[in-house]
Amino acid sequence: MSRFSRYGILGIVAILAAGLGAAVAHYSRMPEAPERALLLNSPRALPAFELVDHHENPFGAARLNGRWTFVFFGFTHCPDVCPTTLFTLNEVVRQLEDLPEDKRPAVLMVSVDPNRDTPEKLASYVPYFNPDFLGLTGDMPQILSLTKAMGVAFTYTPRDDGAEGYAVDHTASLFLLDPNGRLAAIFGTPHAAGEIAGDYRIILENRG
Amino acid sequence: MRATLLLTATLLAVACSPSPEPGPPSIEGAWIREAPPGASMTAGYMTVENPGGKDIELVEVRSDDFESIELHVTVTEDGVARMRREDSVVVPAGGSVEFAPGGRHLMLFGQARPLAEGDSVQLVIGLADGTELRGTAAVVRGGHDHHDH
Repeated sequence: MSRFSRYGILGIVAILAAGLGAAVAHYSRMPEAPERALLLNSPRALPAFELVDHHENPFGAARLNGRWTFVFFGFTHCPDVCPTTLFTLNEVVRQLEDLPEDKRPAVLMVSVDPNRDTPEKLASYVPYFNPDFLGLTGDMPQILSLTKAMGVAFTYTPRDDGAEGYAVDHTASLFLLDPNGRLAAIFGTPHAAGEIAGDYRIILENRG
Repeated sequence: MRATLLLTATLLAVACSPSPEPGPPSIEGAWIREAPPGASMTAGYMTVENPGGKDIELVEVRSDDFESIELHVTVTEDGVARMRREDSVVVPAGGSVEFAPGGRHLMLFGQARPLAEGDSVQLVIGLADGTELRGTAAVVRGGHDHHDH
């Protein structure tokens, strides 16, 4: 074997070893992956929007800054999925009470039924589940700009018994926004409080 | 020897007695969610047990405390929750059907009196064969079951 190739092999071995070392160091620092949540590789910025909260104050993207926020899309004429999810979110928040205040998540319910869900209606409905939860409603184009950006689908379905009114089929996932108001993670159904709170802690460790 | 005979006789008596009749169908663990303020409807949940040898078909639900009650099911496909009415629900012989949050539920319209946690509501379920099941549902403020609030 020539001297050149001997050094060459040594060099390759050294490079491989260095690479392996770096890989080990990298993966041993890799935090745990969330159990259920889909964590986006890079957080996705949301478009500007202007909604109104249940205190009738304007609510735009700027109000998402500084805190992690869970967002749920729903409507008050929804007897099964929406109350169940809001109770689950209340339980999630309760399980995260040990975190410092600025690390605890805020919770928003954005109405996908703004014709029926006035700020007043949301003001009586949303705080029932937790006085800190905030309901948002507004003009349909503003709601659509948010739902499109987050990949939320909703459609109106006439009630199939011919009675007055309609139901709203809607994406029941939960969306987690980071303290810069960017979409960080999506939680699919079914929602279990313990799992969501656990994943939230993991995401905070990853991205906090 | 006498003891052995006695034991044998007892075992024979037990073995030869007719097996107990399966109980009638029943409504178990029924509860209705306390309607949040401003909600014009609410949902109810239960398990219907059918230990008998014949399928039963639930076709109607009523209560003096509500204008109307429908059988509904939430189906979640591709993350989108859709609520649909069902005309009837079959509970197979020897089986049960669960009505639980995020799945089958009773949709209750037109509450006739204020109902809060601690109250109870009488439910009547009409079956396809003309018979009826009766049960009591507790009014609960909560999400998944009686225990998580």
